Amino acid sequence: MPRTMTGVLIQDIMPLFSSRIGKALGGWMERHPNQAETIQEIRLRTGLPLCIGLPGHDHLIHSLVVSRADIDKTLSLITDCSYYALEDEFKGGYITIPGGHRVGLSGQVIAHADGGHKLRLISALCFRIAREVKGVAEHIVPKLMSSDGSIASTLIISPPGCGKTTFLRDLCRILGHGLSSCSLRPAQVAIVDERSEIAACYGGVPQLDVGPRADVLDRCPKAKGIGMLLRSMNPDVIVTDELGGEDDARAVAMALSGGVKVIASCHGRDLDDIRSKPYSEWLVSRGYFTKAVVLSKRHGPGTIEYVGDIM
Amino acid sequence: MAGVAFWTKALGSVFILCAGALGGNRMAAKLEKQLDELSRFELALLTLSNEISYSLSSLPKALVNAGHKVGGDTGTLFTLIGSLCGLEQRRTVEEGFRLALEQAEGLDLPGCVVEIMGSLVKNLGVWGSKEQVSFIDMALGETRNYRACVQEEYLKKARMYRSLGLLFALGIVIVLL
Repeated sequence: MPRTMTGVLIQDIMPLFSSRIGKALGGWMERHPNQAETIQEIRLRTGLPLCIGLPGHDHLIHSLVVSRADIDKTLSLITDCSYYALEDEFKGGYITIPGGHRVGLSGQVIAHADGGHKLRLISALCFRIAREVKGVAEHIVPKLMSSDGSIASTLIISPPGCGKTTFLRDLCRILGHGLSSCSLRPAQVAIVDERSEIAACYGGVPQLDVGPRADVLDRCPKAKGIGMLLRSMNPDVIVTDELGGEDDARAVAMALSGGVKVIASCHGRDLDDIRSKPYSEWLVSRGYFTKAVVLSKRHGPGTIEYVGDIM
Repeated sequence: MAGVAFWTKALGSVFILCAGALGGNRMAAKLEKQLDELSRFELALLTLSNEISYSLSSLPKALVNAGHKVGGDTGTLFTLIGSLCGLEQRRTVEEGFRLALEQAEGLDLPGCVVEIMGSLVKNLGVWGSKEQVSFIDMALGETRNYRACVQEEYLKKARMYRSLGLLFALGIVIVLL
């Protein structure tokens, strides 16, 4: 039984706030039950009103100004009272909490002489509510089959915010279960989740449904992770998000040459845009990826513009 | 008749002497217990500091581990705080500490342990490891100072309490006889 957004907020998020923020947010949700179901973000900024992020706009609760104590209480809870243990994770600017929700952090940054940096005196938190959309890739999978009856190596292309990651996550789930309608057998899926977006791991355990046959390397650089998974987990398919530079392209080529299928996403408007970028062009022109899915938000995030072969 | 009176007096005297000695011993034992709990508290703080800087255990777990290691009433307090705070319990360490004190009314802890822990918990959980260890070191320094005072007092007074108890009882016996 899927949880409603209100249920998710009440169970996962609101207990992490001080009682006065909980009360104010609860009151707003009671007064606006329909809008409450569409909450995407909740922002806490020291000395400023509580901010609720909704699709396309936000709402400030002026009656509640967030204090340093509110931030400290929430920070203490989201870190399991162990800020010190997560200092390295904070360098990335966010942490994932149970339920797969992501908390972005900002405050004072201390730069070290060795080039490293440390985030301290956190003054703002942004809760991004995780939302699973299951089944979005189901009708696409039959079009991504290769001649040998397995999934083809596929590139998911879209500009930011068009649902690439959601699509990838659903693909992982479907690949793990298999899909009888197109005789797709279940596969061992290995995920290199550099930004903890696909599986949203907390304590190394995926918080979102990535299927029953998924191994996740959380927060691991893609190029390194692909090599590690190839050697250690014997995957049928490797899934990764947002291919970028030369190292990523070489790692993908290595995996594909080893007989493993790769499904990856990358930023771009369409196939031509992909061909204009050196590393993705190299992967496409050499035939490493044979299928592509192009997404846009023309009719809302996840609008499918193209599915098929890469010519 | 005279024999009975003599034995009654003798028995009463023995009873008073025992009670006096016991009273003196209890006063001395109180100091001993205080010293013992302070040592445990010191060890618990050291364990906590090690867990934070070397094992990077989560604070609730580190508190429980330290509590199990040191035992005694101090250990019980640490274990309770650890089990009452954190993400799962939706409580900060400070809130966990307050609840632990409410739940463990029977604990016999020196006032300074509660006081030092009370100010330490305000700074536990929201700092980096270096700062966290510094706060624990400060608490450790305070505890050591206090323990040195109690130790001195113990050396001076423990024997005195025991002797005074006995002497007081002897005085009463003499007066009564």
